[in-house]
Amino acid sequence: MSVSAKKRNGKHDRSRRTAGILLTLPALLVMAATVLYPILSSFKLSIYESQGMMSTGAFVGLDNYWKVLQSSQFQSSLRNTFGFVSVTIIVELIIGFAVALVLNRSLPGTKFFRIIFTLPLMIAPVVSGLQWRWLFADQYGVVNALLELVGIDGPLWLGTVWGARTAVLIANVWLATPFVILILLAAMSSLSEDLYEAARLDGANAFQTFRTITLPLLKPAILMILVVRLSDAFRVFDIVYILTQSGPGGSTEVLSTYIYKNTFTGLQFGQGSAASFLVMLLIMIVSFVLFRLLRPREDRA
Amino acid sequence: MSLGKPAKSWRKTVVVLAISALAISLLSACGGKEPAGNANGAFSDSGGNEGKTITIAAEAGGPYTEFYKKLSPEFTKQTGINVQFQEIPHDNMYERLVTEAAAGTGAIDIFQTDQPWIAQFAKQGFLEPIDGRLTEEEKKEFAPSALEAVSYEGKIYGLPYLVHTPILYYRTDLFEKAGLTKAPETWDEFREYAKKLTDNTNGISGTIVEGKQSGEPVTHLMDRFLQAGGKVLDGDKVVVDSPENLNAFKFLTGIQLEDKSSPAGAVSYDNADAHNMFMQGKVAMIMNWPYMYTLANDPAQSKVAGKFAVALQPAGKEKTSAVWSWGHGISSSSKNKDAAMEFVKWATSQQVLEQFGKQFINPVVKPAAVEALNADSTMKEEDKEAIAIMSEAVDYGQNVTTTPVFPAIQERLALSLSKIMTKQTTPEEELKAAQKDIEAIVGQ
Repeated sequence: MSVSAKKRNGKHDRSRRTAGILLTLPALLVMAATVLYPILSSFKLSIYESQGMMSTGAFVGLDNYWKVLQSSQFQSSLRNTFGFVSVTIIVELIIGFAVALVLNRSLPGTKFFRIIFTLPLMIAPVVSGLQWRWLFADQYGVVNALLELVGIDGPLWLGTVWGARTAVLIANVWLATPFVILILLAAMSSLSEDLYEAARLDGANAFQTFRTITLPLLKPAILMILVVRLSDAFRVFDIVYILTQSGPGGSTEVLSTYIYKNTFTGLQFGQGSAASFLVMLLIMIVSFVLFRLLRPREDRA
Repeated sequence: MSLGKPAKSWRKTVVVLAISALAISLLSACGGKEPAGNANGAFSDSGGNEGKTITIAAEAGGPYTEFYKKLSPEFTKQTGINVQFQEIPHDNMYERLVTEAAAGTGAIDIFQTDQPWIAQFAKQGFLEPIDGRLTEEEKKEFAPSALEAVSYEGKIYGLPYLVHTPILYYRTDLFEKAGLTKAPETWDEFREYAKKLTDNTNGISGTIVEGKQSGEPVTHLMDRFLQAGGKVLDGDKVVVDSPENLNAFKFLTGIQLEDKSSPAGAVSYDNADAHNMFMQGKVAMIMNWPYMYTLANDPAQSKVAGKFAVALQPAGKEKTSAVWSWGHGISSSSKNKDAAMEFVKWATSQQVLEQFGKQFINPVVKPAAVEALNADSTMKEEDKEAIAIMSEAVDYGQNVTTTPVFPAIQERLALSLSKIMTKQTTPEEELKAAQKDIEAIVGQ
């Protein structure tokens, strides 16, 4: 490349960069006002003593963080959240795969069912929380009425520890699995038919094909599902708040409901902000670990 | 350039997006504006409020909101002040009012205030003390317990349109069938009647002990504490762990877990469930708020219209209960305080309260209005009697929300109630734990 061409190119690059900055500036400013400012402002809240509402008292450093970490309510909501997140994501993936594999075949009616399965995505979590509350009700709930038809005496869904935990899980799986199905379906439809034909010619059975072809090729899609769903599941709030209000006896208390109560009912804005940052840190770590574990091999070099 | 790179950075983008989305939603709730401060832009040009508009933050769909909304054109006609209602669902009211007040924008002039919030809002300076805006005569028109409910440290922070306490609703037809002639007056009678009235073959429970981990069931728990002779706070001292409060819990677990005269699912019930069960005719006696009287007598939505009566709550060691108010308070950041005060006064004027009592069959905060209702020949005798009982119950009542940290205490007791009713712990152990936690809350 000639020197003048390089120069021209450099000039071109610079003006492109300037244009790029100018074009993104409005968006960056909006982001700074709506994202950066609240984050910094909460960080400030988290290192000061809360006095009354959002006004800050003395600088206390990491004191709020220690207080949160030592609180038994935070610890139990952390345990509940981890249990909830791991179980819900495994169940979502299993159901998601099963449904996506079926819908991916061109059987009669699959188009119709593809639409049906996306419906929960269009319902606000609060609304579906209320629906599930009626469904799980003990005296007039549909769930127990159906169980009774097949001779099962249904549990007190919202009145027992494991009943309430299961109810939250079911409602959440119902709400979130369609997203998993959609992503998997999109990824599956881009898989090359040739590989499957080759596998067939080699005499591989369905399970072998799934394990050695479908699953590895879907890794990027699974990674994306995990990252999005993990951060979603860690923040679960609406379903718990509507369905159980973290009861009975705090057995369905999760991090978000803990933060909400601490902040708004207890008016401990410092501790609430500190807890929010701890949760954010936690999700970043979990996402990072997953990202390292699941990224395709050729990237690791 | 490898083909993997765009894919990788794309994934990175996803991670970054997911994390920032998370950060926004987690933190936006906490990041807020500057504290309320002293935005006292009070310009007192009394009388000259015509053409001004005041905004009232009110419970969406609440019967009292509807009542005032329907009546407010009359206020506008009288005063020339326009009224806007900003309706907020009950579950979000507290949080919305707190953020609104903390922001101090003056976007809202009047808060519809629920009892537990008053001390807290007053202490934080969200509400304007209105003593100076009331004459002695105006104060004397109210029943003393009514103004006590909206006072904090000797100052009045609003005017209540409703001061109430739960009363006993009982099914007269079921009582007759069971050979019972009068409402239970003591805890022992109540427990015995509940057992007698439970009829599993017809799907009827004797009563309901609300046990959901939520705020409303705790209001009933406070009644049991008071009736047992116990309390939560004695001045500034936390006295949760007492033999009296233990008795209160034993009374509740006795009905729920030993007698089983409250349905097993009641451990996850709050007011809405108890209400539905009573209106469906599935329970013989419940303690509920006065609001249900009119609804349960409406055949369009109730199966028990005309088949029930009300009485004072049965007494334990003491004949009492906690009183709770709903009222209008003026936001301290309001820019139309004079206009707002005109509305607050009008909302509890004799004429409005008479209409209020007539429409809802509720306790009424001004004795003169109660008398006027009694003299009203268009009212049914049993409705007059109900108002008398509801008002008498309020006279026996006490205000339990005298501390600004009451919402946090209420939340802690909700946990206690739920844990005990679902047998995750014993009343003895739980009271000790609650004592420790509430001491920490109060000591903050």
